[in-house]
Parts: sequence; C-alpha cells; structure tokens
Amino acid sequence: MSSTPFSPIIRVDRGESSTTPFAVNDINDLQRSANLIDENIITTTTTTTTTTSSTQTGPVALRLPVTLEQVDDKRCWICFGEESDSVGKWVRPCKCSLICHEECLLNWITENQKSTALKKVRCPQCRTLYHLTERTSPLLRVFTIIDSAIQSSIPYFTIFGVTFAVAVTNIHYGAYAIITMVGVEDGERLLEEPWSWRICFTLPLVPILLIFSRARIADPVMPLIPMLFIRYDQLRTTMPPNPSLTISLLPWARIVYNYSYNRLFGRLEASWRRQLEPYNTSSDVENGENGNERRRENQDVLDRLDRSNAGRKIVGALCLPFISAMVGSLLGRFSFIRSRIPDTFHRNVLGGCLFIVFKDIVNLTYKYQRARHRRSRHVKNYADFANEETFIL
Amino acid sequence: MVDPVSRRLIKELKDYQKEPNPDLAELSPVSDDNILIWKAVLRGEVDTPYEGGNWILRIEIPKTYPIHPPKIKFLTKICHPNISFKTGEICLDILKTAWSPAWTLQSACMAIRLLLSNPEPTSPLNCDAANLLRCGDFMGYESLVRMYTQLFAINQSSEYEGTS
Repeated sequence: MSSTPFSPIIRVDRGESSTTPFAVNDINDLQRSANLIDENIITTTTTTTTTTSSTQTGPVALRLPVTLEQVDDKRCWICFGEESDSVGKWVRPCKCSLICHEECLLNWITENQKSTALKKVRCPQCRTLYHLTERTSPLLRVFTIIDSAIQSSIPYFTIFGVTFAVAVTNIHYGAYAIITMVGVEDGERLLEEPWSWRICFTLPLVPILLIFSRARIADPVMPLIPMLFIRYDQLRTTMPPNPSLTISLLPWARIVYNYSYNRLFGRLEASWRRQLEPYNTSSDVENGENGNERRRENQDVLDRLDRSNAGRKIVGALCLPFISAMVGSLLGRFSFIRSRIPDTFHRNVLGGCLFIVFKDIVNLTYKYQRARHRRSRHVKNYADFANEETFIL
Repeated sequence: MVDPVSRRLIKELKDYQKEPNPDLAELSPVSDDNILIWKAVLRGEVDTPYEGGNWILRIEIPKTYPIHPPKIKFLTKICHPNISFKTGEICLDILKTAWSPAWTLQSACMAIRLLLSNPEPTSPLNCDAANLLRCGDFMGYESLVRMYTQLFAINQSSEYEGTS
C-alpha cells in the first residue's frame, strides 16, 4: 500500500516527531469543514460508498456521507482552484472532506493507470476506492486485460529469454567440446538425434562443470556428477579404461593432483608470492619469525586477489578441451603412443593432463623467477652513478 | 486567466506566506518571471546532528504539476544516506512513485526534513553514510553528519545563491 500524505511516510521512531508532513493550515481547514458537515447529516447518496475502508486514517473522522452543496469553501485538492477562480464540475468522490474537479481527478486516475491499466485508485487520505461510471465495451475490456497481462509478463519473458540463450550457448559449447575431445566421427555418432535424457542434461552442464572444476568449492561434489549420468553397465574395469570409466575417474584424479600439488609446492609458492607483496616481513630472513601475524594477514589478502582473477580462470577452463585436443593430436603423431592408445578420446584426455602438468610447471617457474628477481633488486645510490649521468648529459 | 499550474503554485505561496513555517526558513519562486523554479531553505531539526544547519533546496516544477511530482534536490551539500553527496539528489518515495496531488511543495519539503532524522540505509545514495548506520556506528555517523553540517550548512547560506 502506498503511503498517504496524511500519514507519515517515513517510519518515525521517536514519539515526539509527530510532524505529519502536511501544512498546518490544511488540517485546520479540514477540521473546520468537518465540523460544518457534521452538523447536517444526510443519508447515503449514490456516488459514495461507506463499505470500503472501515478504518479512518485521516485526521478528520467523518461518519456519514455528505453532498457537495454543504461544502461552503470549495477548493479542489488537486488544482487548488476555488469556485471563484475556476470552472468545472465539482465532485465529492469519497467520504472525507477532499473535493475536487471531476476533470482533475480523472487526470490523476488516468496518470495512475498509465502503467497498469487495471489499477484501482484510492483517495490519498481516506483510502476510499474511487467509483467511476464509464462506458466500457467488452472489446475494450479484453484489450485492457491483454495489455496489462503483457505488461506484467515482460520481466518473466526476459528472464526466460536470457536463460534460454545461455542454455543454447552452453549446449553448443558442450557439443563442440565433445566433438573435439572424442574426434569427429565418434562425436557425431554420440550426438546423433534423437538425444537421450543424458545428453540433454549433460551438454549444457559441460561449460559450467569445466568452470567449477577450477574452483575449490566444487571438490566435494565433482566426483558425484559423472555417477549421475553414466550408464552403470559400462563401468567395467578394462585396460585401457573405457571412456565412461575414464570420465568417472577424472574428478578423483583432479582431487589427488590438487592435493599433492599443494602438499609439494603450496608453501613454497606462498612464500614466493609473499615476496612480491609490498610490506612483506619475510624478505628479511634474519628476523623472519616475529612476522607471523603479519604473514597471515598477507595470506588473506593474497587469497582475495586470487579470487579476483576469475575471468582468467573461466576463459582458461573453457579453453581446456580445445587445448587438450591439440596436445592429443600432437601425441597421435608418435607411433608408439598411437599403438598403446589407439583412440582419440584417450589421447586427448592424456593430452589435457599433460597440458595441466606442463602449465603448472611453467607457472611455478615463472613465480620462482619473479620472486628471485624481486629478491635480487637493489636501489643504487646516486653517488654510484652520478658520474655516468653527467657523462651522458 | 492564469493556467492551473500557476494558480495552484500562487495559492501554495500564499498559504505559506499567511502562516510561515518555522522549520522552513524560505519557500518562494527564485525569480518573478518563472514560477516553475522555486527555492526552499530547510532548517535542521533540533536534537539531531543537523541542528543549526540551513539547507537550500532547488525545486523544479513540471508543467503537469500536481499530477506529476516536483523535482527537488539539495543545493547545499548534505551528508545523509538517502541524499547524493555530489548531486544533492533525494531518494524519497513520495517524490517518485508514491506522489499524490495532495502533497504540496511545503509538505514535500517537510517530508524531506523528516527524512533527515529518519534515514533509510537500505536504499542509499550515499553509501559511506549508510554503511556507518548499517554497521551500527551511530556515534561515527552522527559526528560525520555534524561535521558536514558545520562545514556547509551553518552561516553559508549566501554562497549558493548564484547557482540557483
């Protein structure tokens, strides 16, 4: 319910600020006219109703409807026009003392119904519903209903459209990733119509799972996901493992790899990163131990920074199938690998794994080099190169 | 005969002049030629950090007034969660969706004055002030507001005359 001018619009916490936001002289006017009206009580007229709004919200309590003729100083609450300086038909559409020109009120109602044509407009003071007599045709009513239905459904359509677009993109990406991973012939056989429910569900999930595989939070759920979609009759331990088994094993391999990587290089990597941080305490190795607290703070900052390069991780994750396929086809050139691993899919998976290991090695080396570079830096004193400088000048 | 907008505005002006509002130091059109641009001077409520301050408001009235609400903004800098520090824009429902012709320029100004002591930090235009409130740092909030009141709103009312 929208707020009325005659009840405080803002939640007033303190009791004393009862300053309802309307002019003081207005209340007095209303009170005066209320007293006038109270003296002549008149029976119900057709234009007003007493059924709506049993609670009186305005400062003036009028119990029974009154006709217009009883109001002496007519002043339109919308345009402030009085009988002396304005023309137009006067109406008294509600039970409170607000009277107005019919034209002014119709303008206000039209404005209110601009966005939602079926909106009910009430008196801002007493909340009485305005009753209109109007000539509506069934056609107009149908049009109005359709119009407001369309108006209110637009947000849902937008959400639906965006979701649909994302799903279509995901499916295309998934299909393309599968074709690159298993090779064109097998891929086309796999994606042949009609699609089983497995394909319908997994294809849009491909990019999402790839991205999640780069995040730590996915660790506990990742191994479960293949189980949802794999046909159990295909889970046989063969050598080399069949594609279903490979897929189910990959999340476990990921967890084991991440765990051992952190055990082996985690601390080293953290110390290298720390050396690149401003205000690090560990660069002076001599008094290293008293900086423990500080170091932990730095670690927090670093974690946050790591989280911020999400774009890099997402793009990297989405590129993985194509890089794997490239490395896989490279592996396929060697005849001894070709004879051991005859099918494209396994070569590509192996290629992907090799790429990840290679990437991590390069990354570590880069970090090590940067840390060493930072450690080796010193600022020259001006006296040491002053001669060279003057020489150049 | 004057057009309905001017007629209503002249009456609002007369109403204000007949019974001046002690909380509203000034409410009048900026110049005699254009009745659609008004200026108001708001007095800060006593016992709030805004006490003692005078804020100049610029009121732009649309030609469709009072069917459409007036545009009101602060010309004097003010520190408040729902008022932009840079532009003086005010986030108040009655100036947007909850407007009805029953409001007058005077009552709208009084609503803004009431907003000063009743901020709504969930829909902020000044995030710094709102964050202080949301963290429950009322002392910090009050002293910040008091500082800006002292800086901009006390004895400086003539400075902004030229911009209006």
